[in-house]
Amino acid sequence: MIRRLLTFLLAFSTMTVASGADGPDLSYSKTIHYQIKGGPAGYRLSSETTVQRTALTERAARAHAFDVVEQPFTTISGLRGESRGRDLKQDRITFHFPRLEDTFIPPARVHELEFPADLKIGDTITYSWHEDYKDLAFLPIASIPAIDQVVRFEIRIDHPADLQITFTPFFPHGDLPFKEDRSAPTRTVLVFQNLPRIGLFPCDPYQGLQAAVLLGVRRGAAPLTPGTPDAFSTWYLGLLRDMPKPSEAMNQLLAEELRRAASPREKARILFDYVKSEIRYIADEGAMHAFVPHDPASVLEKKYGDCKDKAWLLTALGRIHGLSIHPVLLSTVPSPDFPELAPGLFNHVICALEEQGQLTFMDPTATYSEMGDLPDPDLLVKALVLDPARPRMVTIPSQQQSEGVEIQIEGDLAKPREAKARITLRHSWRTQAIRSRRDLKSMDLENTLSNRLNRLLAKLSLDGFRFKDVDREKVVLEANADLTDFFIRTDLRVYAPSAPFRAISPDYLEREGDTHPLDTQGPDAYRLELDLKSDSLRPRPDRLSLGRTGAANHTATCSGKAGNIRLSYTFRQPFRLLPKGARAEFMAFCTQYLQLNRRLFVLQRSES
Amino acid sequence: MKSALVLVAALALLAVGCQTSERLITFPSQTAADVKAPLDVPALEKRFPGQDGVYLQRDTSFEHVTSDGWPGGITWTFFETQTRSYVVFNPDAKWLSTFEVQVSPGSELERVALEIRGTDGKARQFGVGDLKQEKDSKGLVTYKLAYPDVRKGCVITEAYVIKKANCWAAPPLHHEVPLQFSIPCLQASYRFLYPNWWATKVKALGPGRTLPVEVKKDEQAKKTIMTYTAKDIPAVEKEPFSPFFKEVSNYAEIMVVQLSLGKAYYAAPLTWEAYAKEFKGYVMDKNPIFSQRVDRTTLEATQSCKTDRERLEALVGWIQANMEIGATKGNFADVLAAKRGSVYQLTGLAQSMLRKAGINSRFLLIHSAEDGYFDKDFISSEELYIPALMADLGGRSYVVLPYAKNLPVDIIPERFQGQTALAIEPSGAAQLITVPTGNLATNEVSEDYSLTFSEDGKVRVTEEKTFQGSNAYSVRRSLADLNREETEKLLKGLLTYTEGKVEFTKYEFVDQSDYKKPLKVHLEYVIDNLVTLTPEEVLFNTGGLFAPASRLKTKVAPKDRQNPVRIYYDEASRKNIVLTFPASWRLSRVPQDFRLENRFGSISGSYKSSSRKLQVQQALTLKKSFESKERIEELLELTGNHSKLYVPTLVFKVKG
Repeated sequence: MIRRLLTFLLAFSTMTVASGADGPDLSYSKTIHYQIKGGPAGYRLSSETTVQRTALTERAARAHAFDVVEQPFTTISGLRGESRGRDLKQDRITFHFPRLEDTFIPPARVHELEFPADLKIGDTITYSWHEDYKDLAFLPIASIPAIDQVVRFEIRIDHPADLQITFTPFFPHGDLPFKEDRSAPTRTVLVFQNLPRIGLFPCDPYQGLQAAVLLGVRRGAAPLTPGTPDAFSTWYLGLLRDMPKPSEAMNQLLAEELRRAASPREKARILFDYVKSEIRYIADEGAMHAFVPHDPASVLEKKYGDCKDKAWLLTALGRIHGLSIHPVLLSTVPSPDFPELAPGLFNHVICALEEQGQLTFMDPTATYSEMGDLPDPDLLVKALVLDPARPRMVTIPSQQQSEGVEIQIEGDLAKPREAKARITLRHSWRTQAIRSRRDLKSMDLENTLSNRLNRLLAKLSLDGFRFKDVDREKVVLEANADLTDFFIRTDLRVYAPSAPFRAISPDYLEREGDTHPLDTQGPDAYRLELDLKSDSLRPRPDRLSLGRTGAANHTATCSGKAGNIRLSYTFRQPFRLLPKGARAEFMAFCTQYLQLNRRLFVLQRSES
Repeated sequence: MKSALVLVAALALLAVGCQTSERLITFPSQTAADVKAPLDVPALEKRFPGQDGVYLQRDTSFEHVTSDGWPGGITWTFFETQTRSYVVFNPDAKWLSTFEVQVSPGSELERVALEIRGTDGKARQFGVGDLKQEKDSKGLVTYKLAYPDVRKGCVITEAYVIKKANCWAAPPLHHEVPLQFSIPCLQASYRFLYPNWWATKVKALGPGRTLPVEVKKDEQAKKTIMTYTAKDIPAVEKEPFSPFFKEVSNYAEIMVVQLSLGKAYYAAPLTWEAYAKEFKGYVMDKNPIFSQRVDRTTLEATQSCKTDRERLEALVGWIQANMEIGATKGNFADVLAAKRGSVYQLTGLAQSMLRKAGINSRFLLIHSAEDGYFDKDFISSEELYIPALMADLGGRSYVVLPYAKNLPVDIIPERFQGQTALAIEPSGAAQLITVPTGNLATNEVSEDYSLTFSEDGKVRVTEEKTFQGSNAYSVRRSLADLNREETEKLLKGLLTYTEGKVEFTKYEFVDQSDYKKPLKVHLEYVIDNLVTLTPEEVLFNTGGLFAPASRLKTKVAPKDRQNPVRIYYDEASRKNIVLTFPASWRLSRVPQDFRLENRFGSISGSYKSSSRKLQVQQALTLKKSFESKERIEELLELTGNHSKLYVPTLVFKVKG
């Protein structure tokens, strides 16, 4: 009962008059004061962080509870706060373990400071905390949030005189001024002041981020933070040095099948299939396991793990059988584009099989994916191949030469509701169809498939799906196709669309006027072909082509003869983040594609 | 409020007799091995397609144990024992392949025994030492285990006991247990054991529908044992237009109405009037004796008001705008000074201020539809707990919630409409009443469109959406706390056309902050990719314009429907569309007028064509309803994903 009352109240308590303010809500300052102590035998890193928030509007004044998230590699202590000249009582500083959708055992605690709810416009809240880091290598990337008025953002590092500090900034929305102070031999300071307010951009991959700064520490020529692939690999693999040797179960696993395998690639596929499908995804990130994988032998025994657990198990199994399988670190969301590396740049681990210098990527977390066919979030991102012999950065290719969706429709235009479709789904479309078939009841499966395809092809209604073939490359479905809305029938003729795919968001065009990064949500490729009978219609042959190979492109063809009409469409969008220099061409493509709504193919009535 | 009511209960523990009752529920010894083997997993999966698993058995037991404790006193311990066995069909369903239990401060996980038995018959057991613990700063402990080697067809058996050692501070007198679950259950049971000199009450589930429990006495152990068992319980299905869980599913809701322990005695109120008297002392009789703060605030808030309705709005609005929610000690003057009070205190304060402004009101405690059937004989704060005031002004009854920010005085949230409420007079007299159904403001969304076509195919669109009643309130809620930039983003997202580049010329919310008025969204824009021109014909792709007032975007299988059909309140959506086109264009075919009416409401469309104009009116109305599941097909006629109002394209002939 109380839960329901609280839910009800929560709904009402958020109801406030919108500020409608044009100016900033909040003035924000943050100081991070790092201390590096010790010497070459071992450095210790700690920090004191202070945040100041001054409310400039009523809505900002209403915010009075703030989280401080502990990282898996730090311990937080000494939390304190102050508002309106009063210290925050200790009983208002609490912590809990977050409930994360993907994580069964969370990596660390979340601290909450709840200030009295009596703030007024102009009041300032200050809170601070101390952090001890497990390793200098965990010196984090500093992120400057795109919130309103950042008055001051200061990074101060006190360090032994023989250490040098480097700052590498990343500005997703244009360069910002900053000052470095290196006048003292044991203190290095970086300050941003009075940063301009960043607006909201649709399809902005770095929404919420004003700047990021990679901090590096060197002693002479020797980097102490792992900024290069070699340094990162050495440091990270060093964290795993205590990992036990492969267990007997690992050595014996799939022995018979592997013995029969015809090639190393076939062996890799057998092992990959096993890990992706038999080791279920459960993330236990306690005790540094947000960074360090669990022992592969225990992962195999328990039959569960997260991405790095699965990747390390696959790597270890591969090595037992002489395969060159490497873990690969990447970020599934766009991360700052720094020239150097840091632990905070990665959020996912997959694997790569190396054969004669060629890498075949595989994601053992994606249960229904195949070797060389990765889920969309893994594609077109920079990744670190943890090959102990030759660690290196690569860009993961899209690997999508074939269309994700290919639909062939046959029917009679006199009976537009009775057409038949054969649908071939590949890549992420394939894996989602397989997962849906496993997880959903019949009508939910029907709705899921229908909605997903109808979002792509708004005027083509598909239902009554039957799974005809499922293999490693594709899922083939048969379905009923209703063409009623696909064609426009008038007294004179019948019209068909020239751009049936809803593949271009009008939001992209709102980004014509800026040069900031644009997430185009690709890569995608589609094909639609209709072979239609009609005694009374003949096609007016027509063909159009937009874009070019290597960039976004679309083709549409109307052909055939009286009685047999053929409509054929292709669409390909190869980008995820739009490359610099491709902006104008992409915007022109989007504009022209959306205008194709007005361009229709014509089917003449035979008598006209 | 709950803690306050518990306090009331605790204070009522008075000196009387002394007795002891033994613990009867022993820790379950059953393991998966006891489940009748062999399990035919394929047959079970075929019987329950699409389910992540199936409970083979599930039992919840609550037991109160009393014994002689510290000198002259009684030890009162409460045990919650849970046991369940289930087959896993989907090993990736984490809620089945992991174990997790939370234990509140003051309680402990006394025992736990977990087992997973594979399809090969091999079993692994786990105890409390195998669980990972997360203890937060308030003492809440979460115990977790991820089962190893979970495969399709394995059987997991879980048993644990949570012990609350000292029940005196917060007596566990009310118990609620769901008896239908998210997966099917072959056999479920619930047991409630308590000293045999206590009295309890089981809540009815519906008119004439009570939970079929068996009650036995164990004289030796001095225990009453209440048992419920059921077989072949279907899973709870989430379906559109469904009632709340407790309106259709089985659950046990039981309260202790009388107990004595040693020298302590407690009796729950026997009537709602008695309940009201206890409640009245808590939040209604809190006027200050000396302070004038309540009088002064009332006067200031109402000085420009001329009518009682204006005074009602002014005072309720003042409290909503100026007071925070959070219990405060003291009388209403203290609450005003702290600018903070519980929802009950704020409602009592509003009643006091209204009285000082010359408006009489009754304090309501409302039953929520989410709590299922209202059993008038189950006299518990769990049944009636939503505070409100009812004032009769000018022949109308206003039900107001003074703590609900910016909720207009003429809107009653739908889950409370038509529900039972306890109306408490200032004198303490009380009676059960029915909350008015339907808002006084109508729940209507109307949309007006004006589309003007130019010869080159560009379309100038003016849209105005008007939200009233609960709909206006919901939209305003979604706008709460947005700044101008965020509001503009949301506003642009409300436009009807989404398939082309839109050039906005105007977009605004009208009367966004004036909660007494309907909320309007006004958009003006030009769109240039909806019209195809040929020498003889013009084709207008209507986009979402004639998209129906369709409420269901997906197909529904009527034969598979599990739940009755529930519409909570009357509502209507209307579209008025005027198309103005060049004189050289002529609409080749005017859509036919259409109307369909059934027990759930109606759907209609009318189309009037004249020179250079087409006027369209489309409407969908839904009536408050509670019908059997077989009626879903009739509702789909109105709201289904293939609406008869859908017109994808309009074709004009060009005079030539």
